[in-house]
Amino acid sequence: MDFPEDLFYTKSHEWVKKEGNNKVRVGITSHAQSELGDVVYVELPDLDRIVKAGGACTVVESVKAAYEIYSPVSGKVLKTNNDLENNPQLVNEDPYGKGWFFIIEIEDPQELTKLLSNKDYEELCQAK
Amino acid sequence: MTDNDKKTPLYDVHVDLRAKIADYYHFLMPLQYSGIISEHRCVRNNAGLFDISHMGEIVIEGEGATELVQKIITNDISNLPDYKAAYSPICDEEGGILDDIIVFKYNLKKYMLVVNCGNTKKVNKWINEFKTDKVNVNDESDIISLLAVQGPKSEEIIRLVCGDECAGLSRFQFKEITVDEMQLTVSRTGYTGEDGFEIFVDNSHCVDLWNILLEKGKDMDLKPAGLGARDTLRLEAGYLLYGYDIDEFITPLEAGLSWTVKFNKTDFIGKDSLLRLKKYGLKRMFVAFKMHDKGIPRTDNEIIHNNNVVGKVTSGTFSPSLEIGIGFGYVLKRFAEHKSRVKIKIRGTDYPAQIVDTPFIETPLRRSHNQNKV
Repeated sequence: MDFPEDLFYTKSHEWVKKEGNNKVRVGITSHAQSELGDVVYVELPDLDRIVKAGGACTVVESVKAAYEIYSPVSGKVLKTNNDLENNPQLVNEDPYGKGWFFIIEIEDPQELTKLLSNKDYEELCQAK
Repeated sequence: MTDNDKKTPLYDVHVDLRAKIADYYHFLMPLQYSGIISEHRCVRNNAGLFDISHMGEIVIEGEGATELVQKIITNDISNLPDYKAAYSPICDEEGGILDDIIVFKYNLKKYMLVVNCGNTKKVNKWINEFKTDKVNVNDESDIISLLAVQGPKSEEIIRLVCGDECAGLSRFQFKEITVDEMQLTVSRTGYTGEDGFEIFVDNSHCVDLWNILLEKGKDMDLKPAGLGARDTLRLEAGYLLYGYDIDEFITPLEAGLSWTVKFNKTDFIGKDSLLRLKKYGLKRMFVAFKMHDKGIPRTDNEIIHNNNVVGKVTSGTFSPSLEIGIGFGYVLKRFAEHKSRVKIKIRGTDYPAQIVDTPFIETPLRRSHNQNKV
């Protein structure tokens, strides 16, 4: 299982990548996609939507069931990954790359310090 | 072994294959190995091997066996040949479905009922209430395992492992044979819509049989398939799942199973209630539906017509063959009759769907069925 060092993580299995001073890219971790199984649909948030840290903002569906995805930080949705509309399997194939979900303009960069490091997250996954 | 963590003899094999394990009515079962979609396609294109040892087996033996079976099932097995199986609901006095089962007839004095694992104890107890001294009823679920080989290449695999006679069985026919000292009951049955076989084997030989099938089936691309693929396969084929699509609150008439209720046979449990229901009309009816475009229906989603709730989804999934959402549910009868266009409410949004006939896909079983009709 892959836990890239340059990312932040949440207990609810999202990853966060800092891009510039006030933007972050968000997706779900390799562990999460593996647990979900074949992803067949991703419902992305509307652009400009204001999201709260820990608030549900996206839904991912596998063959078996639908799962909520939570925003790791508070802010505004700047961009979503429209490729997922026709190719939801990118979430399985490349969770940290082409399978990203959305970019958020972050309200308070301090929030990032509350997220998990790759080591902490790896421990959390192994504890299960 | 407690009731909460029952395992089939293949549990360790599944874990070694890195299967995702899920609790299914207290059985720890393989949900998927490589992935639901790839396993589903493997069954549709080649063949898949399923461990379905969680299924229950109740053996009814003795002078009064036929009489007892005829009393508890709604279907009529009086003309069923020996070594042939039939599908039937078991109903309570009110016509509610206690289980849906496959009856295997060995002869007039011996039957095996294959029941859903969540219902085994309930059904065993129910049958015992009606049994006479002339008959024995034994729940053999804990000593019998069950494997299924399903898919277009299953006949060739069965030929290699069990011989020509088994490969030549007709649909719903079965046979007892011995292979490498394993006593097997091989039947041409299944729950996928594909051609296929189910093999009953003693627990002690279950792992051996699994390995032999995989080894001999290797050239035919036989791969293990889990309960996840079993669910998407049965939905595409139009088969109901007990606990979701049918239960004690639903009668066979509402569930689209009228063809399994034989009012002309001798008395059976639930007959009076079902006759009354038939005479006075049904309120709701089973439907299958296909999404137009987006949305994957799930259990308990509302079915909407002209902004009114007219029913509820009982099963739904993403169909790997059609690559679209499909589902089953019940609607007020007038909406079932007209092939209505409806909407499915999924997370607050209404997605358009069309009520359709089953199976959703042109399965080999349906194709041969149509040919036979002509």
